Amino acid sequence: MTRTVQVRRGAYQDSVSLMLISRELSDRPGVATVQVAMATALNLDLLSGLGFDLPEGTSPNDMVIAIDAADPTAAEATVAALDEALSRRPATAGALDPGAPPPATIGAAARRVDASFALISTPGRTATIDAADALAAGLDVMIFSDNVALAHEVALKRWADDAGLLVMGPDCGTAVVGGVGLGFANVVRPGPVGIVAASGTGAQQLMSLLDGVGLGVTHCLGVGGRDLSADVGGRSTLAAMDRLDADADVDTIVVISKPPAPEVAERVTSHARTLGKPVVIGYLGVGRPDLTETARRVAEATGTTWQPPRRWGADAPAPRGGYLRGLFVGGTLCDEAMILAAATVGRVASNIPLAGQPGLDAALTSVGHTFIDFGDDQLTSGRPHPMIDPSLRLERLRRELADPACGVVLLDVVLGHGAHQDPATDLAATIHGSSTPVVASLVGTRDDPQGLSDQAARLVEAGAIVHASNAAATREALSLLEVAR
Amino acid sequence: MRTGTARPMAASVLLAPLLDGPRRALTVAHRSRLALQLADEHSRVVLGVMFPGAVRLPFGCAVASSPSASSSLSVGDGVLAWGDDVYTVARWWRPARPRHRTLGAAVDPDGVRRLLLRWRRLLGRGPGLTPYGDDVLCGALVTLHAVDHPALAALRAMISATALESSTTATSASLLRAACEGWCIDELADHLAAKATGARTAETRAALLRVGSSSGRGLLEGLALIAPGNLRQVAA
Repeated sequence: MTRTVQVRRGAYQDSVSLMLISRELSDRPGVATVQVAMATALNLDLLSGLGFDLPEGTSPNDMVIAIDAADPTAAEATVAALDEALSRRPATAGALDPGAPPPATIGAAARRVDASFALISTPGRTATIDAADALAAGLDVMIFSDNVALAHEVALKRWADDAGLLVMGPDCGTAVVGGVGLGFANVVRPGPVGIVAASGTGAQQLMSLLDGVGLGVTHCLGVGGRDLSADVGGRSTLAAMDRLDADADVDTIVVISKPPAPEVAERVTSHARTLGKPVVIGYLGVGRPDLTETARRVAEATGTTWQPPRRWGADAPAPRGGYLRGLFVGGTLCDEAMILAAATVGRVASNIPLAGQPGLDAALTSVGHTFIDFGDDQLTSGRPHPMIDPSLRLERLRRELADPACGVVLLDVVLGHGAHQDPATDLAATIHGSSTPVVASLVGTRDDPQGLSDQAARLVEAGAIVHASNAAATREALSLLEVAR
Repeated sequence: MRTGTARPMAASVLLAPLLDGPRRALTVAHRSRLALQLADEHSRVVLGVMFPGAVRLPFGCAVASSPSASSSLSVGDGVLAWGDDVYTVARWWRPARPRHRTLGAAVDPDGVRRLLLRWRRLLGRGPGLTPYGDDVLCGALVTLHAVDHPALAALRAMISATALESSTTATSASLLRAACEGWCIDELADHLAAKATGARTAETRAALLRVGSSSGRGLLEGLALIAPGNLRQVAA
């Protein structure tokens, strides 16, 4: 075998493009491994772990190409194919105005078209500048990027408040605006519900559960996971609630969030009382309703008949020893599962620990009942989100299934636009034949491109128990543990 | 995973029962440069396939390009299947269904009376995919629905009892049925909103007049038959 490593200084490409190119090149004959990625610390660690010798002195602005091929000819051909793939330029806004150079900034683009909304997905360090440019051009802004400084978020939201604009994010992974899905978005039917969500996968879970009972959503305005923190003060949440209150297509407003700062939660609750439409508030937290209960309350508020979310799979096996291991791609789904688990088993460790619960070391070593959010900022710097690139979680799943201390694995599978086109197949191949029970929450709608029933069937064939409700999945996973009984 | 070449479409929510239901064969009832009208086994147009630039019909789905030539055409089980192309819903949209009860003050009772007496004479009158008389009728029906006028129920009952497919084109018959329930194209809804709020109507009127060769003009005439003034004029 021939191992080749190249570094291209200052050759920036976004992580999703590089992941797709890596996948494409990995299918070439004579190629065992191809990893093309920006040289972030996380990616360098991963490449080292794969056995590549990496040069010193790289920076996150450099592209690193690592190839494990059968011989030098195959490696050279792979590099040539990489160059060809990189040269395929995507369509740009210049295509709207043939002959004109593409606009270099958001503001320049906004001046060319009658736009009212900008979506920003640049690296976190530069997203603030792009968002400010958009606000200056009079646009509402959705910031998909994570790793944006808290102080920048506060400054942007103050500006938007003064200008009567809306900042959705940073780290706003999910939105539906007038039926148009942005970021990771499920295919939902228009309906009387408008959602304000300080939580991406929480919003996806809620929309999916509402879709399951035939209840449509006209808007889901993501505001970023920190919006209801004491520092940000819920500025975007309040502005988004006002937008939905003024929208004739929305009859019922829902606000969901990870555990908010108490004073901000009170501010939002007080603001809800001033609106002309019913508001259902679903703050996650100990002793608070889970997302499924919030969905049930929304159904009740709209006069929709509630049916318990679906479960797929065989009867539950007998309880067994060992610990619960939660492997999540959705931060809110991970939070929700931890809250439920902690109420039953007490101590749960995580890379996004609940207040008063232990964290994990840098290697994310499992300690007793352990939950990992693979979508956390620390694990997505310079890499695609695990809803797109499942490799990190799949590797961890293999290790957990082989760990005799692991009693049950709990995981989430999130469908919709932007997510992996077939997440269940790789998971099913990993789960198949394992004696360790696997319980999955499957977050998706009947119209999602992956096919909700198909995905469930793949997981069930591999032996998993599947729930449409993350809370129900967590409760069933806990019921399979002797320690939880 | 679904088989065939997967293609996305943006579908009206009015198509949900058709798409969610069992698979059924369709035929092409009408074809133009910008749209196709598909009919069911009863020769009723149930689905409009709209290409970029087409007016969005209430029972339409928007696709990026013309489907491959094939006689194998069906809808149901979540997809529109056209030969090897399988269209799935990437986005749902809700067609316009204006409600402007305040515009009721602008309704002309004589206009409503004339409509109730003469609607049969309008039905199917004129050439083209949507005869001019039907366009007038649609504009009037949507306006009656928008103001929640009691005459709508009687008119709807009479139209429902009529064999529309033998009185006009299949596409126009479906548009009339949609108009009886208040569904309409965005251009008519925008103009009604402008009239109801006393806003400038020059742009919305111009946009409506650009619809079809004479459809926009017909819709406008139907609206004017029921509500000849706007609120500002009524107040004055």
